[in-house]
Amino acid sequence: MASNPSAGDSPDRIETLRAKIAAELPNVDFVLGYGRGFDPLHATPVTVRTEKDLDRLIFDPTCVQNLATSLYGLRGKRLGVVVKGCDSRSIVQLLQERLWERENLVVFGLPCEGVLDLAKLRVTMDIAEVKAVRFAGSVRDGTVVLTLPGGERELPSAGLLADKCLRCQYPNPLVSDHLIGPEIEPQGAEDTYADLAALEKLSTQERFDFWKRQMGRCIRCYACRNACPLCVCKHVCLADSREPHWLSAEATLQEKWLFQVMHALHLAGRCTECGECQRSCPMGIPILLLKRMMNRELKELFNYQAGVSLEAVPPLHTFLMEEDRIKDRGLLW
Amino acid sequence: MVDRFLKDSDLAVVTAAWARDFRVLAPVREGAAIVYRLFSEDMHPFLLRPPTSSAKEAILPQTENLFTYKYRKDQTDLTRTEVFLAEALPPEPTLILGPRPCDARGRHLLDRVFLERGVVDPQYKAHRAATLFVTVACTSMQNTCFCHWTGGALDDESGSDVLLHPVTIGGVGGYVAHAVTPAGEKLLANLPEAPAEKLAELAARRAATPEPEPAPDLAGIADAFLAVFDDLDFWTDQSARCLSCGVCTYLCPTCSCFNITDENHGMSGRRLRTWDTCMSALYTLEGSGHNPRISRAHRLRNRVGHKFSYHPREFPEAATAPSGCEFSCTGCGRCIKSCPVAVDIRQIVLDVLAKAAEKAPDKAGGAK
Repeated sequence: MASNPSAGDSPDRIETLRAKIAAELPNVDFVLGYGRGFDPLHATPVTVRTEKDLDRLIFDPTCVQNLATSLYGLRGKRLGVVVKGCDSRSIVQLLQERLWERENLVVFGLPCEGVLDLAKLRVTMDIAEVKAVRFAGSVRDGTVVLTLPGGERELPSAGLLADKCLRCQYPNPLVSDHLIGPEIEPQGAEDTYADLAALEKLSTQERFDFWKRQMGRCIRCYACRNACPLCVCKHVCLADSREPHWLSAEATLQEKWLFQVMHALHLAGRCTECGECQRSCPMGIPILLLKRMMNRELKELFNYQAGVSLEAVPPLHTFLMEEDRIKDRGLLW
Repeated sequence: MVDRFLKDSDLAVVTAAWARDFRVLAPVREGAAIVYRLFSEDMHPFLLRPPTSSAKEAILPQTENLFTYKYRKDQTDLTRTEVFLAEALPPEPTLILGPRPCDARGRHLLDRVFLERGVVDPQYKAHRAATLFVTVACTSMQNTCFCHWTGGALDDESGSDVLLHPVTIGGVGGYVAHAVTPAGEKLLANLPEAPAEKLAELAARRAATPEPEPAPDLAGIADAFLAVFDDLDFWTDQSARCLSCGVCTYLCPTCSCFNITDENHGMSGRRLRTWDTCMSALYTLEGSGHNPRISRAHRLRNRVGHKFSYHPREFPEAATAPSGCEFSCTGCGRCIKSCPVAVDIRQIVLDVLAKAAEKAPDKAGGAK
């Protein structure tokens, strides 16, 4: 494939990133970073082993993947990883849960203004026709200029950024060995859980019908599970277990739904809302809603947000005799 | 067979008429996805873009009920248990609307596996015989398309019963409907003949369609793959990004692997055949605990190898088959387009050719 023009790398920053990685290469097995995918809208994770791989590195709003997802499968190695602010929260959580050792990780942190949600673009056009992409003005308030067969089309970028970016409070990596580029003021709006409120306005039957329709598209590919940086059971997942036999092999609504409930429950107090589950779903099922629902509960019950502090203990990893926000109704044994 | 004309505004009505005789699967837009749903009268089929999923589900359902069983204790001798089997109902006549030529060609590849390898699969055979493909010809290639690498083309008829050619230039938009099989001709019997100006439009558009970028020479790929089979570093680098999920295999029009399980509910149950994916570690996990494909490198290697090396080697006559399908791939590009991490099988194939040429510069052919 011909190399594709990139969307809006800052030349200085990418050079700094390459130089920092080059300096660390002798200390790591390899570095996980972003390269250009098969077209200008797609980035793809790349492994940098030697200096000749450095040219492949890019960083721009198409770098949607959370590279922390690959870490658990590569434990035992000493790795470098390129992270955005949101991705760094997954690393914090992995370290908190001792799923990775800090000393075996070199983090290259990139403050990030936001990434594209290709699903939003796909609703309005055939994205396979996009020949080139550039950003005019800032990532948040500027425009995205797409080159299409019929000419250029300019769209406000705010409408194309991922929802998580619009409410992002952590644009700067929370853990990093090399912070590359100036830190950014958080520009995200306060998270009012408006998406959940809209869903909860529906009657129980309407909500049930909504989920039946959504889950009807599920093909049980488990991209949602495998793209999750904290879903570390992978191939020993209870969704695949025959003994005990929690889920059958049937592609029925109840099996699909049961898996999503399991996934959400197992991520309670752990999910950082990186959104990889929903982004990876080829059928566009809004499964992040379920995790957000759990997170809202966790926030209310334990005043806890996952992946923002290395020192914090996730609430379901410990217990307190008396929780601040949970009334024990004064009952005595 | 004369070509017919199907007005865009008549599409729902005509589909509804087909739905009287068939279980009709039609593509609809749901958010960013285009999925096949059972047709209902309030639905307008969306034919402008290729569906997210392939048409495979029409002839190889994700869940196939092979038979149901029931155990019964002998009340006079409780050490004895009888088992009763009931075979599954035969499939309903089915019509799938909106596949693309690459999907329709996929039928030949599934046929090879389920009908032509000495053992005839009765369930597949029944689905195949009961299902008609009303295919929509493509008017341009998407940037993930590579049907011409595998012998296909935008308006390839092979595997379709009807091919609908979109004509949207001026006047009434719609489709020039071309019957490929007698069953397809029956479907179109009530449609008017295509007016001469529509046929002229179609001919003009087809003549003006630009040639795709030339396909690479893949003549040496089956052997080139074997030459790099043992280079695990190569496969590790190719697969480091892979999530080991089932997107590529489940959306593929030609991936045919399945699992068979008994789903028990007390004293009764069903024996099911369900899609399986070679991207999963469980796919090759043996009863002993040993797993010959322990890493993503092994698994991704298998998928590429199966499509471009094992299949052509197993079916050497495939290269000259009337369907033109030499590889177990029709170049639909769904595995590229829907991959969460943008793994590109085209690039892997090209890298295999280049790597093989590097290893044995005299022997490996095909690399450009």
